[in-house]
Amino acid sequence: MRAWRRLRNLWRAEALERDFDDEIAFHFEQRIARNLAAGMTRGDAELEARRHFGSVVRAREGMRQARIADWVPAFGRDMHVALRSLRRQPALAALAVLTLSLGVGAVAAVFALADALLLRPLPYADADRLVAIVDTFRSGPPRTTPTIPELLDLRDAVAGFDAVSFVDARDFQLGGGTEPARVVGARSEASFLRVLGVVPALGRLFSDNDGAPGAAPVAILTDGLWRANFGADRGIIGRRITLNGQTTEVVGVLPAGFAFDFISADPVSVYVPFPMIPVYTSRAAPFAGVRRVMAVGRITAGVSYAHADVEVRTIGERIAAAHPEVYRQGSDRRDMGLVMRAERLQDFLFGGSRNTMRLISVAVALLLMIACVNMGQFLLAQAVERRAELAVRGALGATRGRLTRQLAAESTVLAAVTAVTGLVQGALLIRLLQMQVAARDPFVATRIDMTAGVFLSTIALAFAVTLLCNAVPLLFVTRPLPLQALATRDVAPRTSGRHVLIAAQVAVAVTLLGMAALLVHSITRLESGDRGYAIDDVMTMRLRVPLRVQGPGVGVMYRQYLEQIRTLPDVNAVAMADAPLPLWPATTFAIEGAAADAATLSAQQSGYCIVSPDYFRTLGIPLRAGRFFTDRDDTASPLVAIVSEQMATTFWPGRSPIGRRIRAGEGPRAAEMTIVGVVGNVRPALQLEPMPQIYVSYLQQSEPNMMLLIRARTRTGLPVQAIKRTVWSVASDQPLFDVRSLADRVTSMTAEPRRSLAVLLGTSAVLAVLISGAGLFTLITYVTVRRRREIALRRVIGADIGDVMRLLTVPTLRWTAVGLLAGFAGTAAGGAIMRSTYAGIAPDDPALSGLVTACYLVLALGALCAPAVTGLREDPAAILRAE
Amino acid sequence: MSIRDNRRDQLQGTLDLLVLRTLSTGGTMHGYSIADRVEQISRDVLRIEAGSLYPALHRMDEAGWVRSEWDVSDNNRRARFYTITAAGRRRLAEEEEHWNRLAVAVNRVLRLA
Repeated sequence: MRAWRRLRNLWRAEALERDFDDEIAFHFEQRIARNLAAGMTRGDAELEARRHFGSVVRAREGMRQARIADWVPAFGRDMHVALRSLRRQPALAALAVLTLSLGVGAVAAVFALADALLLRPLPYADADRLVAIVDTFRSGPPRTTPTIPELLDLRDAVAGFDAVSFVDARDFQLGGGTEPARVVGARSEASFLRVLGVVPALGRLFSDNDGAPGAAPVAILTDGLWRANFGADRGIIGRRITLNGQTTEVVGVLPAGFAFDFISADPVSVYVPFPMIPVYTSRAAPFAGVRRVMAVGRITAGVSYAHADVEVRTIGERIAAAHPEVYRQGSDRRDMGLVMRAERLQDFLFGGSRNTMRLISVAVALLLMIACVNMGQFLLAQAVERRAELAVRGALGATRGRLTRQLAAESTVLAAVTAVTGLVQGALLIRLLQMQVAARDPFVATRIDMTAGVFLSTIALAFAVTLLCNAVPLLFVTRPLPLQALATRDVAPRTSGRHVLIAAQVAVAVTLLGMAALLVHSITRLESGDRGYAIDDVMTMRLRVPLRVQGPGVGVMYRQYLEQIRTLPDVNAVAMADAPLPLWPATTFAIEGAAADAATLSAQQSGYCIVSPDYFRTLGIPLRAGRFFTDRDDTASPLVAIVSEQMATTFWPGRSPIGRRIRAGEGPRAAEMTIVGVVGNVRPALQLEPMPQIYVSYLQQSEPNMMLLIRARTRTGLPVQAIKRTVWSVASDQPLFDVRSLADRVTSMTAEPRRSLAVLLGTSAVLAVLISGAGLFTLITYVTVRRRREIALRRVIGADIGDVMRLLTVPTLRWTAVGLLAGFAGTAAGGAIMRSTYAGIAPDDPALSGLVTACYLVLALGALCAPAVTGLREDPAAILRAE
Repeated sequence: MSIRDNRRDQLQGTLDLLVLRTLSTGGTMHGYSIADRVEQISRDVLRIEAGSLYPALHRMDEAGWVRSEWDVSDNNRRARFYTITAAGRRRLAEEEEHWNRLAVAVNRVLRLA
C-alpha cells in the first residue's frame, strides 16, 4: 500500500517538490517576521532564518526519500547503462538475442502443442472424469476398441462409473435440398450425449427408449446442420426429416461449439440413437465381434483413473473367461489374452501423438541448449571486456552489491528483449504449426493457441534461460580481482572449455540436420519411384448406395453406374472399390493345406480390396498370371480372388498360385476362395517393402460404401457434375461426395503425417544450423578481438594472412570436426529411433550424411572466416600504436 | 538493547516523540509552530533544526501517524497543517514508554556506576 503510493509519487515528484518549497517558504516568512519583530534588520533577519533552518537541499532530499520510491530511478539508470553496453557490440548482441529467442519461440510452439493435445481439458463438462474403454491383447490384434457385447457386460458389472456409453459414425442420406445430401451421422447409445455433459440448445437429448427395437426414429441436429440446412428454424423440434429414406422426427438441437468429431474423417452433423437390436447387442449375432464403436465412460467423482482401470481389467478377465469361443483363436484355440482397460479420454484420443511430441521436444530442447551456449558465449566475451571497466568502478567505491545490481539490470534487459522476441517468434511458429495441423485435424488446430499459460511459461522460460546464461559470466566478473585486472588487459580465460561447447553445438546441429534430411529422403522415396500403379489423372468420389437397395441389387446398381459412366467421352476407364488401394493390412488369410495355428495366422496379414473388373486397368496394375475379374464373377459363381505378385512368390515359391484356395476376409466376409489371377505389387502405405494383397470381386462381396475411380482421357480433368448426373440418371437418390484426386487421397494417407513431422524437424534443423553458425561466428569474433594485439605484432614481424587465419581458425575447426563426428553418431541414433517409431523410414545413407556434412562445412567455414577476415583488414601498426 | 545499532533510530525516535507529543496537545499545527512550541516549552534547550523537522513530518505523514492538509494560517497565508492520527497516538504511547524506560536506565547508570 505504502510502497505503491511511493511508486505512484514517482510521477508527481515535481508537484511534491513545489508543494514542499511552498511549505518551506512559509516557514521562512514566519521566522523572518519574528526576527523583524524582535528588531533585526531585514538582512539579519533573513540570514538568521537561513542559519536556523539548516540545509534546504538536504531537507528536500529527506522529503524525497520519505515520499518517493527511489529504487526505480536507480534501476532505470542501470537499465540505461545496460542498453548502452549492449549497443557496444550490436551485431553480436542481436545475434545472441535472436538465436536464444528462436530457441524460446520453438519451445513456446511445443508448449502450445502439448497444451492443445495433452494438457488443456477437452471441451466437455467435467472432462477429467471421461475415460475411453479399450481392448488390448497379449497376443493377436493391437490395441483396439471394444465390441458392443463387451461394453454391455461391462456396464452391468461396473461400480466405479456413472455411465458407460458408445458411439460410431455412419454416412446418412438427408432428404430434400438441391441434391441428395450425404451427412455424417453419429449413432450414439442413449446416454452418450449425457455422458459428455452436453445441454441441448433446443428440445431434448435421447431417452433410454429411443434406441430400443421398434422405437420411432428420432434425430438430434448439430448447430451447424441446423443453421446450414434448416435456416436456424427455432420451430424445428417435432418436424420430420428424411434420413436414409426413413421419416425421422427432430427432437433436439445441440449447442454451437459442441463437437465430438473423433469418430469420422468428416464432422458429425446429426445424432441418431444407436439401434439396440440383437444384430449388434447379441454375442451370437454374426456382427457381434466387429469393433465398430468408440466407448466413452464417465467415472464416478472421487474414483481415480487407476482404480477405474483396475476395475475394468477385472471385468475384462471375467468376460474373456466366460466366452472362450470368442477369445481363443486358431486351430490350437490359443488364448488371445484380452486386457480391457480404462484410459483417460484425452490420452486415448491424442496419446498416439506422444511419440511425435517426444521427438519434437527433444529436437527443441537441443535447439534451446545450443542457443543457450551461444548466449553464454556472447555474455562471457562481453564480461571479459567489461572486467577492466568494472574493476575501475570497484576501485572508485562501487560496492560489490552495486556492481551485481548493475549486471542484474543488464541480464534483465537481455531477458526482457529475449522474452519479447521469443514471444513474437513463438507466435509465428504457433501459426505455422496451426496451418500444418489444420489440414489433418481441425479440432486440434483450433486448440493450438498462444494461451495465457503458454504466454506466461514462455516469458518465464526466457527469463530463466537468460539468467542461467548469465550465471557463469556473472561469477567470473564479480570475482574481486580489481588490481590485477587493471594491471593487465589480458584477462580473458583460455578458450578450450568453450571449444567443447562449440563441438556440442555442431553435433546437435548436424544431428538435427541429418535426421531432417533422412525424413525428407524417406518421404521422397515413399512418394516417388514405382508405386506399382499410375496415381495421376484419376479422380475419386465416394458413394453409399441408397438403403432401399439391398442384397444382389447393390451389385446390379453398381454395374449400371459403371456402364453409364464408361460412355462419357472424357472417361478413359472407370472402376469401383471399397478402398482406393490395398495399402494397409486389412485381413488375416489362411492357405488351404498349410498350417493355420494362431502364430502363423497372425503373421499372414494382407491388404484386402473389393474391386470391379476394370479396377486394374483403371489404375494401371499389370496382370502377371491368370485373369482379371469379369462381371460373371458374381454370387451365382464360385468365389474367386486375385493376389499380388509378392504374395504369390512368397507363399507358392516356384509354383503357380492359380487354382489354389485361400480363406480370407474379416468377420462375415471370411470365406474360402480360389485364386484366379496374379497382379503386380502395389506399394503399401508408409513402408517400402511389398506386402501380400488380396482382391475380391465386387459382385461377390457386397459393400454399401464404395468409391468410384475414374481415369480421365486427357489431362484436362473430368466434368464432375456430368458424372454425378450420369449416376443420378440410374438412381436419383444416390449421394456422391468427397470428390478428390487419387493422388491427394493417397498422399493424405501416406506422406501427410510424415510431412508435418518433417516440417517441424526441418525447421528445428535449419534453426539449429543457423544458431550453431552464429555460435562459431561469435567465438571467432571474440578470439580475433582478444588476440588483436598479438596478431598485429605477428603481422608486423612478417606473418602473412594465411598464417594468421590458420592461427585463428584451426583450433576451432578441429573442434568443429569433432562435433561433426559426434553429429554422425547422433544422426545414426536418431535414425534408429525414428525407424523404431515410424514405418517407412529409409535406412541410413552415407551419401546423404556426406551431403549434410558438406553443406554444414561450407556454412561453418563462412562463419569462421568472416570475422577473422574483418579483423585482418585493420592496419596492424595502427592497432599497436593505439594500445 | 544495543545502543550502537539503534543510534539512528534513537535520534529519529526522539524527534518523532517531540513532534507527536506537541501535536497531541496542540491540535492542528503547521511546521513552524511545531518547532516554535518545542523550543518554547523546552526553554530553548531543545532546538529542532527545521531541515530535519520537515523530512520527519513528511515521513510520518507517509507512515500514517499524522495527516496533513493545506489551509490558511492566522495571518492569511497558505500553510501545510499537520494533525496527529489514531495510529500516531499509538506510536506516541510506544515512543513515550520507550523513552521513559531509557531515561530510567540511564539515570540508574548515572547513580550507581
